[in-house]
Amino acid sequence: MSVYKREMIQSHNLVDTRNKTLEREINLAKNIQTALLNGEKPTLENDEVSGISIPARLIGGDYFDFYPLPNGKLRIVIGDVMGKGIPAAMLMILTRGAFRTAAESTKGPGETLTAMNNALYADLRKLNSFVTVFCADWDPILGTLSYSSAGHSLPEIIRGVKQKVEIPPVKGIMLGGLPNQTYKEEKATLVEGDLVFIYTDGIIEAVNTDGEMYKVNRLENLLKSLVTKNVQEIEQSVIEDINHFTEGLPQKDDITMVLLKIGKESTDISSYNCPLV
Amino acid sequence: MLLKVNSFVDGTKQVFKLNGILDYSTVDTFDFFNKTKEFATELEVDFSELDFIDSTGIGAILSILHSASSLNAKVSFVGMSEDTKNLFETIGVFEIKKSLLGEG
Repeated sequence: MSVYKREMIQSHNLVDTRNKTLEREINLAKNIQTALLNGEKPTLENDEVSGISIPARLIGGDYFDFYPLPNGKLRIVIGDVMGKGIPAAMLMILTRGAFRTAAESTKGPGETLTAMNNALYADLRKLNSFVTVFCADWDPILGTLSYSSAGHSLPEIIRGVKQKVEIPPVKGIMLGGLPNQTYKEEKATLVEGDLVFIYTDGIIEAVNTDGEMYKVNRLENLLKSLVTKNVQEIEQSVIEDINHFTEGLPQKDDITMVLLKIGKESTDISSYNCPLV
Repeated sequence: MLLKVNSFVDGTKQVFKLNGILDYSTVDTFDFFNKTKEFATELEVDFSELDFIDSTGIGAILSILHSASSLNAKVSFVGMSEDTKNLFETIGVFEIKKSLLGEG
């Protein structure tokens, strides 16, 4: 074998080893992110809660989390980091840390967002990035959802009688946009059978083969038709409907949703898959 | 679909005319921050032929705002669709523009 050929083989082997190492590390990163994102969901006495995140690539920049508070409330957060892939995933982990720290020491969702922006602003600005976040506290005793937004869209809330609930709007600048921000809070009263659907834009911006977007109206109509189901069934049906709509086109953006269903009694009996005897 | 940016100077005004999609896949087509002329006193971003913008695209628009802030230049957005306006409103781009450029 000539020296040239031997060097070519050695060089090829080196590239192959590096590629395999990189692939292994990306898969490890994916496992870490999946474990952190899809950890144990809180169990509520009278309500149902669920969440799922499906990255467009191996790893993504969307984030959701639940933080049970000592006063019996449940703090819920969903976030969308600018960009995609590994860079967004790194900032997603940073966002998770900021939320976990802030959730522990702040009274409400507005204060949580303020603390998160204070913690993240300098880093995000340096990296020319930002994160949109929606944060809410569910109080199962009073039946109220207090919420605040840092550049994120409001959730869809559907009443058990298949009607959209209009909630007071609230606006705030995305995390990393400006320093020293105060985030206002609003409050909505929820009743048995209500579905709160919090999501990232990967859902409504999913594109089909005609170049059309999924859009919020389609989501709203779908949720109205599903509102009597349990949260797992609703979650699964939304994913199936997006897949049906996009007709197998590659997913362009991360897709994340968090569902809160008020009351367990209101769930349609057929959704329990009981045999009809 | 790709992104085309027609950048031209009109006196001391620099115009960025966006055409196509400004998203993760196209944003590196144009370096908005470094392509800003130092003598510009006004930057105009024309969205009238923009079909879609995502969060990465908004990041590029923010870099224009920061660039304008460092040059003490004004920025105007023209030809925005209702969808783009709503998105900028939700994310807080208009508030950042006001704050960075000292707009009343």
